[in-house]
Amino acid sequence: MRKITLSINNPTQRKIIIIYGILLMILVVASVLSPTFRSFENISNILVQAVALGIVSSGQTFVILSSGIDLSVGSVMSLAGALASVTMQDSSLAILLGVMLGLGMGAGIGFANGISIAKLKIDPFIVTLATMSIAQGVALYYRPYPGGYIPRSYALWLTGNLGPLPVPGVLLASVCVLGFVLLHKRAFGRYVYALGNNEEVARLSGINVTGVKVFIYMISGVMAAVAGLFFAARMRSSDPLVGAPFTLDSIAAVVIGGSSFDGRGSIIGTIAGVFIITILSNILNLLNVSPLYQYIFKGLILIIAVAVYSVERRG
Amino acid sequence: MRKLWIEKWRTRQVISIYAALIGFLGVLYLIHPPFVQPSHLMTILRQASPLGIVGIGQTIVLLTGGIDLSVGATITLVDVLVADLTAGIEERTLSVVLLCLGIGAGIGLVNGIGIVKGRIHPVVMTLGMMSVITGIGYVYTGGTPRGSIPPSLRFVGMGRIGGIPVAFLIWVLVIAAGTLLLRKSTLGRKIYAVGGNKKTAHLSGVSVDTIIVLAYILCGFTAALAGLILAGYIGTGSLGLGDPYLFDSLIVTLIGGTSFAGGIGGVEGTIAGTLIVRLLYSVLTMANIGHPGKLITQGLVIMGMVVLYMRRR
Repeated sequence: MRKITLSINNPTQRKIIIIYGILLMILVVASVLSPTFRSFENISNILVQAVALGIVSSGQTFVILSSGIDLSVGSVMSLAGALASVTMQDSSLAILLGVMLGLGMGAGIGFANGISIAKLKIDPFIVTLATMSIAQGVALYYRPYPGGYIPRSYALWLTGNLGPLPVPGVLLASVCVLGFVLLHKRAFGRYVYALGNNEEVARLSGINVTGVKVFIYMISGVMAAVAGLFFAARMRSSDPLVGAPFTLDSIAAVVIGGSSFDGRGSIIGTIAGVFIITILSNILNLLNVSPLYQYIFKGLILIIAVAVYSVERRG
Repeated sequence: MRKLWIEKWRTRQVISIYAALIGFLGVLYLIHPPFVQPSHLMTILRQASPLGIVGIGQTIVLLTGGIDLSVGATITLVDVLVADLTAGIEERTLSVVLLCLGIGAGIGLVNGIGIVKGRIHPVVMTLGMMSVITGIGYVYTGGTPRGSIPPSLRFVGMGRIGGIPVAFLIWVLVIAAGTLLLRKSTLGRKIYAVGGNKKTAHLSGVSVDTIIVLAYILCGFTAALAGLILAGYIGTGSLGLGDPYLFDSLIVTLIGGTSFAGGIGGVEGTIAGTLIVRLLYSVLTMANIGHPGKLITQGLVIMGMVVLYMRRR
C-alpha cells in the first residue's frame, strides 16, 4: 500500500489504477462465469474485435483531451470502407490507391474539422455534426447497400500474421505506442493538455493553437479511416453504416478510460475503456444475455464511471 | 443612448432568419407553385410540429449551456409504450398519455440531476441516457413492437380542426408557453442568466442547479409530447422512430440562432429553423434526391448557416 501512495496521489494515475482494476475484475469474473470466455480462441477474438474501436478511440482521446469532440469518426470509418470497396481491385496498385484515398479522405475531413473549429471559431460539436452528415451521405452515395469487393490479398494481409505476431494486434499496439509517445513524450502532447485545460492561457503562452487543433482533428480523422480500412478487410466487404456505433462507443471508451473535456486523462486509460466495452459485449453474448440489454449496460457504465470520477475528484 | 430595436444584433438575426424563410418560400413558388398551396403548407406544418415541439425543449436546454442527446430515444420509447399499453383501447388513452409525459419529464429529471449533482458533462450524461433508454425500448418490446394507437391519439397526430392540423395547434400552444416562459417570466431571465455565465448567475442569487434540472425536465417533456404526436401519426409502435429527431432538434435550434455557448437565442428563431428544415426535406423528397443527398445537404446547411451567423457577429 505504502509503495504506491505516490502514484495514488496523482489524480490521472489514480484514475488509471482504478480503471485497470475494474478491467481486471471484469476479466476475473468473466473467466469464472464462462469457461468459453477464457479459451484461447475467445481471447484472440476479443483482441481482434477491440482493434477498430481501439484505433478510433485513440484519435478521439486527443480530441476530447483538447476539450473538443469528434462526432464524424463513425462516418469517416464508413466512408473509408466504402471508398476502398469501389476503388480496390486485385492489383497492388489499386489496393494502394484505395488505402491512400481512404487515409487522404480521413486527413482531409480532419483538416476541414480543425480549420472550421480553430479559424471560424465554430463549436466542435456543430462542425463535426455537419461533417458527420456529409461523410455519411457520400458513403451512402458510393455504396448504397452493403457489399462491394475487398481483394482477398489485402484482407488476408491485414488479418494475417507478421512473423509470429497477428497483424491486427501489431496495428493496435503501434497506434497506442504512437499515441502515447505523441501525447506524453513530445511538446505537441503538452499543447493538447494545455488547450484542454485553458485555451486562452495556451494561446497567451505562445502555443500555435490553430496548428495544434488542426493536427488533433487530422489525427482523429486518419485514425477513423485506418479503423474503417481495417474493418473492411476483416469483413471482406463494406457496409455504408458500419461506422455508426463507433462514434458513441469511441466517446464512451475515452470517457470511461478517465479522460475528461478539461484536459485530464490519458491514452492508457482509453485502452482500458476500449477493452471494458469490448469484453462486456463479448461476455454478455457468451452468457446468452439478449443483445437487447447491451445498450442499457453500455449507457449505465458510461454514466456510473463518469459520476465516480467526478465525485472522486471533488472528494 | 438607447439602441433602436433594429440595431440590436439578436433582433437582426431573427429578422434575417425569417427573411431566409420567406425568400425560400418565394423561390419555391417561382419554381413549383403547387408547393406553396395552402393545403400543402398545412401538410408541412403537420409534419413540422413534432420537430418544432422538441426543438423548443432543446432550445431551452441549449440556452442554459447544456445539450440533450436523449430526445430521440425518448420519442421512440414513448411511441412503443403508448402502442403497447393502450393496445388501441380508447379508455386507456388518458392515463397512458399522462404516464408517457411523466416518463419524459422523469428522464429529464435524471439527466438534470446527473449533470448538476454528479457533475457529469451534459454530452456524456445524455449520451449514456440515450443508450439506456434505447436499450429499455429494445428490451421492453423484445425487438418487435406490438399494439396500436387509440383513435383519439390518432386524431391528434393526423386530424384537422377547421382545416388546421391538431398537431400544429399543439405546437402553437407549446410556442406560446415557451415564449411566455423565456420572455415574460423571471424563470426565463434566470435561464438566460445561467447560460450566459453560471458564476455570475449564482452570485446574483439564481439557484443555478434548479434551473438546469428544470430545463432538462422541460426538454424531456417536449420530447414525450412529440413522441405522442408521432405515435398518433404513424399509428403503431416503431423502434428507431425518434432517431432522426436527435440531430434534427439540434439543427433547427442552431439554424434558429441559439448559440451552443448558452444564453443567446430563443424560441422565435427555432420556429423558423424548424420550418426551413422541414421545407428543405420536403423539397429534397419531391426532387427525388435520395437519403445520401439529404444528408449532404443537411451538413452543408448547418455549416453555411453557422458560418453566416459568425460573420454577422
